[in-house]
Amino acid sequence: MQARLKQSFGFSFVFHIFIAVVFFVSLSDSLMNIPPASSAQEIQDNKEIVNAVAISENDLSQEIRAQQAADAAAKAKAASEAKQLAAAKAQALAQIQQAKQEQAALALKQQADAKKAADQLAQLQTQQKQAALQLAETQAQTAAAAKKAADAQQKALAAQKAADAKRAAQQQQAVTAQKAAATAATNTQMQNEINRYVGLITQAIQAQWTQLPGVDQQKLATTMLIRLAADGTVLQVQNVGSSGNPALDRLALTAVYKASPLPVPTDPALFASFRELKVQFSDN
Amino acid sequence: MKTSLKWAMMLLIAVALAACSSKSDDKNATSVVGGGATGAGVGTNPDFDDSMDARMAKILGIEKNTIYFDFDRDTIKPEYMSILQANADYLKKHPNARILIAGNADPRGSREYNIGLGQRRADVVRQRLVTMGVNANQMRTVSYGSEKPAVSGNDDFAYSQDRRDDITYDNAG
Amino acid sequence: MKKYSVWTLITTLMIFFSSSALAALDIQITRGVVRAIPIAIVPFDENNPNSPNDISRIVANDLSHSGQFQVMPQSNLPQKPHDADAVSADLWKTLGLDDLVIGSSVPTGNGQTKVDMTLLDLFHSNQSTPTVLMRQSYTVADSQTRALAHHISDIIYEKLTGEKGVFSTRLAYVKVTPLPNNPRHKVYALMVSDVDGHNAKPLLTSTQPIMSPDWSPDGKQIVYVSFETKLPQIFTSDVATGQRRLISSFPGINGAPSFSPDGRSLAVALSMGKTNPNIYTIDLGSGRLNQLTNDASINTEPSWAPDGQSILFTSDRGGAPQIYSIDLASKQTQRMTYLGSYNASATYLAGNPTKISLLHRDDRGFNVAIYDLQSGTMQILTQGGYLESPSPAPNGRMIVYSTNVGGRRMLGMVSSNGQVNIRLPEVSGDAQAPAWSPY
Repeated sequence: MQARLKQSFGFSFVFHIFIAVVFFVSLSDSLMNIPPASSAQEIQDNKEIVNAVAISENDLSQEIRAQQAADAAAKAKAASEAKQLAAAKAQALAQIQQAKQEQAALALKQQADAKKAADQLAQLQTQQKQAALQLAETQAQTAAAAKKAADAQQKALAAQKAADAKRAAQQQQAVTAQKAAATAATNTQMQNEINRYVGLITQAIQAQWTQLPGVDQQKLATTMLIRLAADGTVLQVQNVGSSGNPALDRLALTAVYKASPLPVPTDPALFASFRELKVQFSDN
Repeated sequence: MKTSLKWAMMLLIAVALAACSSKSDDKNATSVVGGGATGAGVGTNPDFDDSMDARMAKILGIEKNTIYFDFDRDTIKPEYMSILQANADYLKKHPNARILIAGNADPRGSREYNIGLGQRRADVVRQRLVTMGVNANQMRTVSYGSEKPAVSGNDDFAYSQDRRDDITYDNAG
Repeated sequence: MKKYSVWTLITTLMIFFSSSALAALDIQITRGVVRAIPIAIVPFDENNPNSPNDISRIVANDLSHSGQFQVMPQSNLPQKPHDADAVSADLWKTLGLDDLVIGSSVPTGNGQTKVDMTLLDLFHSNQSTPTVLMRQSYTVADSQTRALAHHISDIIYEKLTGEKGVFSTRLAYVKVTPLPNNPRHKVYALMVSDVDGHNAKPLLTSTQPIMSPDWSPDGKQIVYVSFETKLPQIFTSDVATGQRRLISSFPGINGAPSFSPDGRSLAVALSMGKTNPNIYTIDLGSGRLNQLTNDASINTEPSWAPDGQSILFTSDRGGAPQIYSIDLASKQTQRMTYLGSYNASATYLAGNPTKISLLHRDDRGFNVAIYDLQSGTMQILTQGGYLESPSPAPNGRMIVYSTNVGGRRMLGMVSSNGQVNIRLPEVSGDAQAPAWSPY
């Protein structure tokens, strides 16, 4: 035991001598580079090294304190962010629900519109019937007033017939025009609806697109082709136009996945337009 | 080549020190680094010797060979004329005497710009001493800008102490 | 009749829209949200979670100080996996994170440590398993773990932002320590440290002031002003060997040295025995002097444009210090700043030829600002009021400066958007005149 201690002491002694030699060799090496004008500087150098060691311990507690403060701040920030996230989710949910409600309202409105068109058609038909009745009345009056004016009557009858035909044709045209107008109205409504969802999707992705503080993304133009499931879930994203900066491309990709599921119309007819989206990210 | 050798040595020392400290022999470790040289020479460095300044102030019959300036100014205030006169008289009487006029600025703003401000203050005193008949060859000027603040602190009092010329004698003649 | 017309409409519409569905709907995203990337760094070594040398802690500090990352505090981590397979992307996604760094550091016993690092992207696919963006493995000497940690910060930073990180760069600064027994006298040291302030070593010490260090473009030399003879002289020192070279010792002011972008010459401020300094260039090969300005005002702090064709400088020729630019070929001078009564210490920000960092004074005192030469806007980044010596990082994303805290000077860093402002670990005495090294 004691022998072992002695041995290790001996080893340590030799080792330290060796270290001292190595140290002074390296010290003399650095001393040579200090100009003769400042002989006090060599000694100061050593003093500095002592300080440097003492400092690092100081720094340590300093850093730990700073870190603790930073941790607390970050924690508070994370909490508020979690809150914001929850609020954002609630908002998104509300938006989806609103979209659903509006969808239902749209269906109702479409039904109402169709009914209106049909009603108008029926009204026209009623008008036609009344015209026919009037015609019959006129004919009776003519017969009673002047039998001898048969030629004239014939003529009038022919004229009346022609007028009838003309009127019927006009009525037919009116019906067609009404129908077309109704179709156009519904078209516009659907287009409006599509635009509304494009707006919602744009908002959803924008909210997730991180632009790095101070990073000039003006050159960035990334185009992503996105495939969506019927519930708006992002199934696949394909980069079809790179910005040339993989990190900025990735931020765009992240934005799309983070925004999933995207707000899409539940009406299959409308959703058909949203199955595939081409999203271009550009800083104007 | 030389650098890598030096690094290798430093690494060796670091490893050795680590070995030491793991044997809880920290005392030895720090003393190797410190080499027992801490503070030696500091007291004997002529740069840290104020005795010449005190002696000259006594000879000149002034408390302190310093002229203070107002903010953003390099004009000599009348109360400091007696100090300049004492220096002028001495320098004329002792043609071998040599002085250094060091201009200083308060610590606000750019350090290098402050060097410019300090040089203006040094040169204005030098020029005044020339008009008092001192040989220009007896004087040197330097600006320390805000590198040698008289006091630490950042209030108006501290700043008023910093905006100054210190006149020191390299050679009493 | 009614039914018929409704169905006609729907059919028409379906034909119309199914044809348009063949072409994907176009969506334009023109603005996002300016924010830091949310990331978590799981401790590499759970046995030593609080060690300042813990790699994950150093990486976390580096990334959060850059202003480009929002690093989740370690205490908030829901789990501490070391293996990518053990990571559930969904769990981390719900915490609002984009990316996750996991790894391990295991001492191998022979004074070395084995370090593994994996960068995971939580949103690279719709899968619940994260995508490995990067995986690295290292074995380094224990003494090199800090350097390795900074390297890991660099590669993560570059992978996620597309820009080079600056965490392996260094700082030069002047440390001033009063003598304990005679605080009127001070010891001045030219220091070189890691960019986080650690690992500080003196390159030169003196009993007289040392000023205005600036790095050569290759990072091998530092040029500075030393008053070791009581008068100012300009020297270069080799950072590795400490070898010195006297560059300039003219009568009067020898100040504000600045390396040209090609490293072949210096711009300096020389008064040549007169009161006011003018801007000169010195060819380091031939020693040839070239005078650029010639007037009786303070002309100082030259700083080269990245193309080396012009030089910014501070001059009070208009009554108060403002920034000017002089073209080297034509010697034509242009005033650059008009906002405020005091602008000085200007430097071009890397990667953005229209922006300069500078020291700006307003009613809140002296602060670090970025001035946009194109738009003429001044963005003030700090609030301390006692700042000086702003020096931008080589990627232009951060600026190191010196500030006064309770009567002592300390180094601080601010991100160039002003969002992150930190102080570097305290040193004994004052830390001033910092200069950020090149890559």
